[in-house]
Amino acid sequence: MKPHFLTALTTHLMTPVVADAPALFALIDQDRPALARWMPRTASIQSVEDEAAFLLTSLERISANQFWLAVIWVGPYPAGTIDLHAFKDGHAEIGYWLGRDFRGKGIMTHVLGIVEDVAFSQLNLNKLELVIATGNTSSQAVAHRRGFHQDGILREHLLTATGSYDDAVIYSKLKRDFH
Amino acid sequence: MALYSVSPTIQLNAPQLSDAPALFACVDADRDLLSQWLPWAATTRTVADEAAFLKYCQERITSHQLWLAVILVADRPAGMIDLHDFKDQHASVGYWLDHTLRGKGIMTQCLAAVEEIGFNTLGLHSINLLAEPDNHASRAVAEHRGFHQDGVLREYIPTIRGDYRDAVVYSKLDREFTA
Repeated sequence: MKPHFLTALTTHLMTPVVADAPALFALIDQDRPALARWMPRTASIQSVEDEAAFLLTSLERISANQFWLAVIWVGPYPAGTIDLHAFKDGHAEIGYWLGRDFRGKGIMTHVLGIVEDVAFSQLNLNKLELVIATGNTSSQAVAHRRGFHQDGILREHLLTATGSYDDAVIYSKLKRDFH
Repeated sequence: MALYSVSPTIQLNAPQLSDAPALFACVDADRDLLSQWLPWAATTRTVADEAAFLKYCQERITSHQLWLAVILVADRPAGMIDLHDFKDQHASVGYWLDHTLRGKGIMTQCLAAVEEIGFNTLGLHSINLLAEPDNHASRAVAEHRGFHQDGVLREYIPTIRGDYRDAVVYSKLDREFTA
């Protein structure tokens, strides 16, 4: 796939199915060090079966209204995922990742706008939170482009794959901030 | 948990169902002020409600999802202090004290004891503390104990009126702990 073709393709979100496991595993496996730096759970995804088990567990948690997850598709290609988790007191936390070839094209900024609409208009949340390691500048850029407000820096908050902790910027967007 | 001696007149003890009448009396005598910050104070209407809460706490303690102590002042149950939301060697601390005993440094001493237990016995990496911006008494306890203000989480705490209040988030790291 030629990366410059991607901008002409339509991005959409789909409910996850277990059949997405091979494509999502391939995206993780080809880019393991970069993804694991900010998303330690990728260390536990060592096979297509591991990713399928993750999707199955996710579907159960979605059914129980504890989780919301969508697979990001760029044209015919699965490109990553975006989720809402830690639902509590009218707020939830957002998580997202894209495969290597799909980053830096504004795809996640576009997708985040869709998920904000789902969260505020359909799920009726009052607030969304983003917790991003201070060193993860590309993820922070997405938050800034979507107008999230920086609430603070949580010291040594995110446990990394090596057992150390990263400081984390915590951002919020309120329902009344959403247009 | 064994009885933990904070000072000659202050002890921390595992919650007992027999604490319910004394704790309920504290809540009942100070319902308006307590429920301003602690929504459960509004719904604790009888000694039986308080006993049911203590039983729930005992179950959560047994399943290692909660650490909680009743604060005894001159052998009388006068408040509570707890650690909850355990994740990645972090926990959040919560506390309240009978209104006739506030402003004497009792909670500051209790928090020091809970830091000692959290860091040295439970092996925590950090302890977080949330307080509403205008809850000056609670914030003074955090600041006396040298907690660091990490930020202000917008519209984080639900109120009994159905809206939300901001929360100042503080943290203390294990290496910052001194008795």
